[in-house]
Amino acid sequence: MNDVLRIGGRDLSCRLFLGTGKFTSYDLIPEVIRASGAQVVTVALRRMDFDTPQENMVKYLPPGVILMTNTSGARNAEEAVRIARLARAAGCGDWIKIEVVTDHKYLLPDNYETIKATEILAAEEFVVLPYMSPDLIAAKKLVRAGAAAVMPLGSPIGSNRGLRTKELVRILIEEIELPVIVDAGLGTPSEAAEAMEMGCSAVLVNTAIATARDPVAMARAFALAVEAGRGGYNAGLGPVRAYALASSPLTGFLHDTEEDRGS
Amino acid sequence: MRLIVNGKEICLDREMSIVEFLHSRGIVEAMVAVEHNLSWTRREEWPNITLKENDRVEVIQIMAGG
Amino acid sequence: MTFYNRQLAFEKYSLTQDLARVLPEDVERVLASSNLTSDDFLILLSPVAERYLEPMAQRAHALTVQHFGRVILLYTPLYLANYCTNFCLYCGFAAQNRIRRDRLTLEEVAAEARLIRVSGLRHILILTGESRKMSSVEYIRQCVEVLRPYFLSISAEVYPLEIDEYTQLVGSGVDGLTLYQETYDRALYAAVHPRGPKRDYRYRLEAPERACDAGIRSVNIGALLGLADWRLDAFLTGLHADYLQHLYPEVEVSVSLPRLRPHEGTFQPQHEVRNREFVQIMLAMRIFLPRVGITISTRERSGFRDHLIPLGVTKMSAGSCTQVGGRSHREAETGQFEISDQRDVPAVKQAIESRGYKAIFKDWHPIVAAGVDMAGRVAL
Repeated sequence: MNDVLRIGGRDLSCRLFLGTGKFTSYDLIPEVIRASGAQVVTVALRRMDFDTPQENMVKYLPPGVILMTNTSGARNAEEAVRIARLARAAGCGDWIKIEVVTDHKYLLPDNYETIKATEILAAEEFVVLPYMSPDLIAAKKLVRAGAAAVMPLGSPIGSNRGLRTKELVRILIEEIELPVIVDAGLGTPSEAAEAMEMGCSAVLVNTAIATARDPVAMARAFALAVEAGRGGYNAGLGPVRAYALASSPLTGFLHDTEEDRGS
Repeated sequence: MRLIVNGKEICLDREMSIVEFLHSRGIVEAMVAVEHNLSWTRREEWPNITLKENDRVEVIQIMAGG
Repeated sequence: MTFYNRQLAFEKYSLTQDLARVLPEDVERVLASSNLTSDDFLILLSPVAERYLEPMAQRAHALTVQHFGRVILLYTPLYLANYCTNFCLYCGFAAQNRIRRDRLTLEEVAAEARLIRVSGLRHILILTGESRKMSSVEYIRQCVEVLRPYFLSISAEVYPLEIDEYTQLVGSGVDGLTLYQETYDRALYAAVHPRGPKRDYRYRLEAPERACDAGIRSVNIGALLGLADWRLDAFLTGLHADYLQHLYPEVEVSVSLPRLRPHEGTFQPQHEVRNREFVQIMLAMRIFLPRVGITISTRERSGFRDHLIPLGVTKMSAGSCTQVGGRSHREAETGQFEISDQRDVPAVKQAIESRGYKAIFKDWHPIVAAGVDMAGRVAL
């Protein structure tokens, strides 16, 4: 069955996006990517530390994987835009995850600055995937600004609290015509499956895999969960009765012998 | 000659191109991106961009991140 | 891109074929889902779905109580003028009908307003025929200025206007637009509008979008059920409402379900809508669009209207009169259509309350009214 996710002109068969932060060692990253089947992987840009130079991370990424540069560190739209342009100049490609966070307690995104950055970067033909707080009005503005998808948080970054924003994400899925990708907060494979069953187009998982006891096994588990959830969604989940047939009949009057034509 | 690199003030004994600067720090071009006075720069241009007094330079590396 | 483009895209499909293919399982599946697609809506309008009226009614009732409570807003129409340059085959005011033509003076408008105000109604719908000469935008605007101190909400059901004209009316205090496309069947539309500006299907269809762009707060659309195939008109009415709601989330969208009534003129409806079918349309509309209002006017008989109360109605007219100046003049005159529910406001209120619902007269209180200070309000 052709269930391809089309974003930014690319056709993706894997609906699990992978974040590369917080791994204990770069060595794990290629194995985790292989185990998850992820085709989209996030990276970040940081100032080089001349005193303790870091290894080049790019060599750990398999060829063909799509790099999505995260603008983390940006405190406003202007900084996010700077980072995106640098990413492109650095050879990371055009996929940008806009992450503008000014709240350092919960790491909640600034939707307003995110919308501003999206508009600028979309006009420069970046493939923009904004990380956002699930607000329908903000999401509509992101659509108009030229985003390629919207990425609402499930719960705060790193909290592993799961799909706390479920009802708001559901509204986005119903109302927004772009792919809805839950990013942040998914702590278990079942939560990823839950997001997919609801109709999300994909999920982005980082902390839950990177900090697992066995990240490679966890990556595989998440991949299976995403597939299961998506499969359930496509198969047409069984009807859930949202109401009970309790009250007295409402249409009995239509059986009365009255003139049926409303006169 | 004083300039600000990655937020810190440093001293260079003479003007030099971006490429020369990177090599002097043991940095391989392929691994980084350079922002010069708040503008992003093309790798091909690095031999031709000369760093001057009070320039602001950011040397950025691709790293792991969510 | 407007709703016109959306409608054209749908015309590729054969509604009749799709309706014929519907199975009972399809109806059951739709009744158990939330967030219906337009395909699901069509399923609820199918002949097969008519067997499911009771479960549809239960669902519609639950949704309405959830989103609107047990509340019905009362309003009344006020016909300002019946001059008309259109020759619509189904309307009492059509140019070819020899009826007495009238236009209220501003004093007469105030007199009608005082009478209506006494009944307790605070929401009003003003109407005119289509005549830019006899009921110009400026005339309408002046009437609105006269009416504004008496009412909390003024909706207008007038001929389609340009966006700057809507802007003028909104500036004067009009907060709602009512405009019926009459029928979304373009061929039949041309046939029943042989002459006059109303022939322009697209201009009329796009008028609600112009009004929304001009800042109108609410929009009420509908088709005259019985003119064409009612399933098509109900379906497109729903799609139109859905489209407007989507594009203008800040606008309150509602639909009316006017059924063709006996009127002055010779037009006989081809597709009379039976009571069961009328109810089916209303229930399907409510289930497809849980947050869109549904207005039932006095075209419907009192007993029938009352049965509709728990099924999804959110607004009803009362103390209606479709004659120009019909409340203050006592002479018999031709109205736009024959009113079936002649009850006065207290009787309608009583009927609503006897069903456990609350009749409300005030939906909101405007605090931003262009150019009017609170001292200008009439104290009664």
